[in-house]
Amino acid sequence: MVAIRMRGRLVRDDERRLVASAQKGDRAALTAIVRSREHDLYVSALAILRSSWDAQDAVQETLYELCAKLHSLRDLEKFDAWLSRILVRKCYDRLRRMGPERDAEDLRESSAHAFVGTERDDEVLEAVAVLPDDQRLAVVLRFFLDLSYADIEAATGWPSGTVKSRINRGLAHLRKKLRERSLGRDL
Amino acid sequence: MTCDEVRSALEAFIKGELPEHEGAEVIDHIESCPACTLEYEELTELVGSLRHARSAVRPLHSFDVTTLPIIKPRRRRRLLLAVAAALGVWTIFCTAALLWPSVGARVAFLRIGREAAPVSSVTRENGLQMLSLSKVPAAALVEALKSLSSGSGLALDSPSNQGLLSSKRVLVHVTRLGPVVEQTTNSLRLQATLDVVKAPGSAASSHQVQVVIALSRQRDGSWAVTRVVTLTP
Repeated sequence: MVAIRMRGRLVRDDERRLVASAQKGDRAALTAIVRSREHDLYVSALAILRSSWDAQDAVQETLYELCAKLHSLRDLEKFDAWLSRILVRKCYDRLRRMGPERDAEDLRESSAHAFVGTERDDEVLEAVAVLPDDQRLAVVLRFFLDLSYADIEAATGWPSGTVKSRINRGLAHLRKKLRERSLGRDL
Repeated sequence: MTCDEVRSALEAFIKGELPEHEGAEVIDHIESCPACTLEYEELTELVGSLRHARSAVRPLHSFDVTTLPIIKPRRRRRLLLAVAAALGVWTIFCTAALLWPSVGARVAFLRIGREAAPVSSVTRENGLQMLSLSKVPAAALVEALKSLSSGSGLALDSPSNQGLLSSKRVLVHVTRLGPVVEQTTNSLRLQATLDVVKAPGSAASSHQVQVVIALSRQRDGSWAVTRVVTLTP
């Protein structure tokens, strides 16, 4: 699956060319960029917000801001980090508005997306969904959006030590949750 | 490396982001430590599961790109450079007309660098002095830009083909560029503040002049000053 997804992504040089063309107002280039990123953006927003409707809105707002501000992006290599930063901000805004009392949606049931994974995938997504907000965000940025520590630092404003510790704590939590589930199934 | 150090670095190691020498130390440690080997295997499996899980959800619809705003190409910086160049050159004339109000009506050519540029008309509208200008020669822009970037301001020597400013020398420093008053694809109006110094050889005097520069895009893609409006009397 990973290999298929990676093949679906554009090659770096092509990406830079596309972003440069989009900056000049090329609509076709913009569409190609959106198509190559929308899946990862949606899944990431879904994992952070745990609501398909909020995830859709957050991604649409992210794309809107992408268009409004793309002309200001100077370092094309940083496009993904830049785009992730927008998404994180949109998701943060929503998390704040939602408040602490909110239930995670069942990710299998949605009119916005189809669940095409295995039972293990479902368990993993569920375990991610119940992580504390900061750890969930760190794990999603690191493993769903493939950001480096430095990019996560830039996207969240967290100090570098905090980025690393939140990722590691998130992973430890996930392992514990998944181990418990696995034990429960075996009993 | 201790077990704690290795476990703290394992995640970056699995992602292939550790520097080579640190990666080698992690491998050395794992090979000799069964507990860390187990830790490494479990973490590798978890990272693989996370990567796999992100493909488990597929949006049913593509996001709508038709309602997204049009991306505006970044022209402003280049434009500002061109404006800075044009500004330095043309406002000297503008300033000259301010310093010597009778000059404007008589000037037919203005010397810019090595070239002479025609001034088509000088009029007054609503109390503002308007200079209608022809296309700025590209070479003159380059010359003017060089002068501006040197930080020394621009010096207008007496234009040899007219003699109108022969006894005077004017220095103009651009102290502020912008804001942009109006911008479309093919035109731009920009405010600027100039520090005008009448020197040397005459009694030292200086004052600031507010101007609005209008530029329009030419067929070849270059920008030309079409009008300079002085905002201060």
